Amino acid sequence: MPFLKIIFFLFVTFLMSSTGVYAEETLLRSEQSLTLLASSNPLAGLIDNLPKFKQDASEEPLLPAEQAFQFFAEVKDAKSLHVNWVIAKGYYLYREKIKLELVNAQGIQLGTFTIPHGNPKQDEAFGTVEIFHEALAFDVPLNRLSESTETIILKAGFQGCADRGVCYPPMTKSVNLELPAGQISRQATEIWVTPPELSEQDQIVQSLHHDSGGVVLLTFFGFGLLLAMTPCIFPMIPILSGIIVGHGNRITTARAFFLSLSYVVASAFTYTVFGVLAALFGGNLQTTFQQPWIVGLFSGVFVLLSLSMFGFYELELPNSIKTKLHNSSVKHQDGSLWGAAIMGALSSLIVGPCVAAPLAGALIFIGQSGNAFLGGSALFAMGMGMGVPLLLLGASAGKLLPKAGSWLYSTKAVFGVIMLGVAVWMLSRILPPSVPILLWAILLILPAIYLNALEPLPLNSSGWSKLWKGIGLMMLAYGLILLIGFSMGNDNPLKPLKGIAGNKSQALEESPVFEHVPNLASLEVGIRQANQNHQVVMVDFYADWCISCKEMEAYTFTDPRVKKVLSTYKLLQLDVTKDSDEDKALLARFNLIGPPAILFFSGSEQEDAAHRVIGYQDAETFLKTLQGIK
Amino acid sequence: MMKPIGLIIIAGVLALGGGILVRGLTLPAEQVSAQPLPDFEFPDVSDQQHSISEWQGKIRVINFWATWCPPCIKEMPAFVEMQDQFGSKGLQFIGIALEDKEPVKEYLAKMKINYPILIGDFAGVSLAHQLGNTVDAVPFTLIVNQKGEIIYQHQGGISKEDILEVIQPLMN
Repeated sequence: MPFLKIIFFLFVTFLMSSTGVYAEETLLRSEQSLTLLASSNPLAGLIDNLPKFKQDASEEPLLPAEQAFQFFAEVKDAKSLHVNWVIAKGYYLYREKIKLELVNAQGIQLGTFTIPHGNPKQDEAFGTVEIFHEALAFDVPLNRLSESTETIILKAGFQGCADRGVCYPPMTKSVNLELPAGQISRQATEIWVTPPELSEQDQIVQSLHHDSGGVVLLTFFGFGLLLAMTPCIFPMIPILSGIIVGHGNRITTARAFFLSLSYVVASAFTYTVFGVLAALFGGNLQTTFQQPWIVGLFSGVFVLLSLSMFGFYELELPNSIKTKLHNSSVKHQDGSLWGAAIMGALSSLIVGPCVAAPLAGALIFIGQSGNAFLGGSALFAMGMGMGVPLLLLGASAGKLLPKAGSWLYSTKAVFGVIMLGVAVWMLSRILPPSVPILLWAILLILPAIYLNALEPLPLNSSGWSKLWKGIGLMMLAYGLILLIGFSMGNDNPLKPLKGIAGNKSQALEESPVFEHVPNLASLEVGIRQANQNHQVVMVDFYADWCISCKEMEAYTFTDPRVKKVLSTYKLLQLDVTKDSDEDKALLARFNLIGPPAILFFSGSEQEDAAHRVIGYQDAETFLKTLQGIK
Repeated sequence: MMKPIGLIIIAGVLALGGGILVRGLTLPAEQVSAQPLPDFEFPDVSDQQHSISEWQGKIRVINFWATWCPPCIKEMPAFVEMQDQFGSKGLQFIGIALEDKEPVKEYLAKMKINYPILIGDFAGVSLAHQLGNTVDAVPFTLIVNQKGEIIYQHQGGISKEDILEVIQPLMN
């Protein structure tokens, strides 16, 4: 095994080099202390033996202030800064000692900002004070009197202590910031000061900061279970079923379960890794994998999968890889576990992670604290929670699926069609909107022919073949309706005949009309206008690739009760499909990681953060949210 | 194809683990050695300059503190008590405040401190640093024997027992 030898060699050299470094350092250090001893009194040697001369070695050395309290500031947009402190474990900052100012700034000043509340601490000397452990972050608005680009120097003053009872002197840190050109502020007080009430995602961020690890993991597992009940994992069900069915007669309950497990673990793991990366380096978790070529490629994989289901060929690993797997400790059969794992990983990336408050909370927490481990573990727990229904599916699949015979072939063919459906569903994100409805029509009509929809049933046919023919006919009929819809230029496969004359109920079915706003500036104008009319503003962040957005639109907003409430609202929609810099700035402005997100502004120009909606809500839940808004 | 990729991954993991290992091994250890106390002087709250050699020949407990430091304030009553008890036996507490005069003056007006308090300000911070307060955090306490050697240093709150343990052998 030359491979192992190389690793061993690497390891040994590394060990040697690192211990070598260590030895050198200790040598240096002892020399240093020798000189120190020599320079002092000859008695000094004896002093070493004095009790308590050395500091308690069991305690870790204290961190220098700049490591214990790290301050960062960045330009959020032309009108605001985002400041945050990363506080080492075991250290804390005093809320009242936090000061921010601009140095030598002309034509620009800091707006009013609110520092979030910390944890109360009973201090013998100072009474009750508020302190922050681990992290502190908030936004600071800017009042601008000039529009040009400029460099500003933000000076932050802060002071803190270590839990073990030492305090650091008040410190200041200055950060140079390049401010983009921006509009002149019309008002002295800027809108959108840090919201006093916490939104759900912020509450989750807080709980991540304060709860113990076990509680966090359990909570996130629970969040995952709840998310599993929303439509966001539905697409994964046919994918996993396809994988299991693809194994045909070899499948046993245990095997099906392990396939699902490897699918679920891989998808949770990918979810975690990319969540952490996105949080640490910024960037949108979804849009990264919504590039047309990635979606196209993945759809291609599904088409290939479906073709193998139809029996066009056996889907097997190339021989070279097979022998390799065979030779390694991995038994050859388990190659398919890897296959399931790879599909799981890809599914979680491309089918699209459900954006929901817990996910947003975990990402913001990681971004704020840099604690990727806790945040990542939370994401993983959530991913596993979301996978529970898939595991149940896997465990039951072995029992439910037919073992052999023509039944197996039919089942496989059905899943082949479903795989094609998944491919169309994904392609609909990147194709022109009118094309998918045609694809759906084809996908319904052709299998209908295979189900003998157009052939007369033989006289003494079984109940099953009647059932199949019935299903075939329904598919055929709906397929034809879709074709009509396509020719009419409609693009919603769920409402193919929209716009046919005489369809009076049409108006009722229609979802409420949103006013589209292109950017932050027009959003502000819209909110101000609504305030003058004493209207509540609902701002909907939308994107074409955002599945939950479409679901909200199709099922929640069309509910008559919801529509009734919304009729008094001013409805604004921000389309962030393109993920342009402007879109990114908009999302960042409101601390969002992506659509779907619904924000409310009632009465003031400040967001009603407590009622912020992240992720899909059905009509019932959404109505409750609406009731909470004054 | 597999081999070089696997190799890179494993080398990467090893390098990472090794890096953490090396960092763990080379964390700076406390450097504590008996040093003679250098001479320095600071003003008190009434702008009177005091040299540390004023108290030469005594067992000096030099306490760096500040009014913004709750753990410092907390331990000062014990110092007052010990100053009362052992002052006659040659024990001398000296407080050096690492801030400017005003807050200290205010604090001293409220509290009865029976030992000298000097205003160290920024120079005090660098003195403490030089004397071993590597992280510049307070409270930081030094004990100097009658010969003028620093024989004990402590970061963080210090108990009466800790001090007694060091000074008792010196007082006999």
